[in-house]
Amino acid sequence: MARVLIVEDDPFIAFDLSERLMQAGFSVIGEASNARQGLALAVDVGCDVAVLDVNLGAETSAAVAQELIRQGIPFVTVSGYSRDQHPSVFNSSPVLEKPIRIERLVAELRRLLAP
Amino acid sequence: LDVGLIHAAWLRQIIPFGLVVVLGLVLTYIMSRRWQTAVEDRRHAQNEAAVARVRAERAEALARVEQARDDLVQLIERSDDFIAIADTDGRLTYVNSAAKRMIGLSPERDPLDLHFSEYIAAESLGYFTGTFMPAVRQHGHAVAEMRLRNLATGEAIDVFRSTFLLLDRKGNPSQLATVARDITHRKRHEEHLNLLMREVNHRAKNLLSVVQAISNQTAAKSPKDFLARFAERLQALAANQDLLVRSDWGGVDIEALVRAQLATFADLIGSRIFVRGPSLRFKSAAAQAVGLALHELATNASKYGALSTESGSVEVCWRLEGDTLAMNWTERGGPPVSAPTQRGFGSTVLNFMAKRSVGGEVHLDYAPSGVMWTLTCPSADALEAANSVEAAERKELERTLGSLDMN
Repeated sequence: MARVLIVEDDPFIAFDLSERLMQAGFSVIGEASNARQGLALAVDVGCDVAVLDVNLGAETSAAVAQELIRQGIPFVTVSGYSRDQHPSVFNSSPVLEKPIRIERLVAELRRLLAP
Repeated sequence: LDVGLIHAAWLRQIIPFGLVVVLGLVLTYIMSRRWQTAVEDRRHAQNEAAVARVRAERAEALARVEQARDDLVQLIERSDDFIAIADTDGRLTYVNSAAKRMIGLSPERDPLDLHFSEYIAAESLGYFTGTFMPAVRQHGHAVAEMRLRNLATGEAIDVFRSTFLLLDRKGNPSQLATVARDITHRKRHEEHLNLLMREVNHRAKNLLSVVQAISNQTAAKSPKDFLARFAERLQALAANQDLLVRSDWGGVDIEALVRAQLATFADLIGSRIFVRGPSLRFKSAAAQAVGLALHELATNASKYGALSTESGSVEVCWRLEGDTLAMNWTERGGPPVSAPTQRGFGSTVLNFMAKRSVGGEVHLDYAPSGVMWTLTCPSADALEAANSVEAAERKELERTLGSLDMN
């Protein structure tokens, strides 16, 4: 089962995302609400793919994106901002605009995981 | 008959008569001469007056022209707008003082050695030479917003600019005139407003995602009474949103949050619902999660707990213990309660959301005497610091919004 890391600061969105991804057959290794937690999960637990909300209140998830790129782990970017407002580290990843459709997210994650 | 005598007598008669006639003629002549002189004198005097009048009128007209010219010179020199004239090749022949200030020329500088493309900012130069000036030459005038550059400081100045051809008396283009107004402040306001609009858009989309998450979870856990439960939760979100907007997404006063989520039971506050705690402000993320938790608690209490009877009571209190914030919801005097047999989204909110959003611990106890819900968390995670960076940024935002309102 593919292991997914979720980085999302809103607890309602994170909870719903996590439940729906589990229903879709993913194993959620954790929901991080800030970059520090996200980094810790990416480094200590490890994952096969990730869902990153760009904006985490006062900070962004750019540091997590950087670490994932370093590890060669693909991720989907989720954001309420338009793409040109994202830090450049998110440029290479697929972007889903909020509110997202779970079917699209699942399809993107499967595509990224495909060998 | 003495002819001689007759002749002498005739002469005696005629001589006095002749004398009288001659005298008369002389007098007539003298009188007419005097008359003529008088007329001439009068005419001469009249001419003199006319000449003086014409001279005075001309002097007056000249003074008026000079005054009008001075007014125009002042109009141009004392204007706050950039006003300049250039020859048809674009070499400046005149710039007013505002223009000298704007593009950083010393007041004494003779502008003749300056071409009007030299003080266009790099980002506007292509547009200026490629589009704007061709339009001026083709249509006789053009208006546009563009950016100039202060030659002394390098600073950028946004202007609204109008450039038009001046014609000579035969109607041929002789010079180019430009009037430009500094709109830098307005542009900054516009940029700031755009930034705010983007931020509002982002927050709206985020809120829609929260609504989506709540609707998914409500549909999954309470499919039978989905519409009713979802509508209540939307109400709770809306109440929170009001508080967040009122505080500009800054700290939300805990008591205001509690009262907003208990608004349906407002008439019971003070008699059966007791709200107490120090004046503290939740961070916006904590306010949203705790607000929804309070909503779920109140809904449960009115359906099964202390607020479902005539006598039960609820106490909501919070306090700071060192670096820890503790918040309690305690029901008493209601019907005996027991833990629900199945977990709805409400209990997820109560158990996990508040905890997650504030990085604390939640204890939910379905004691027979009544529901007890306790949240404890590090105050730094849940509460707005009095002098935080966010608070300073918010003040800045408020100031900007204030000044936008004034405009």
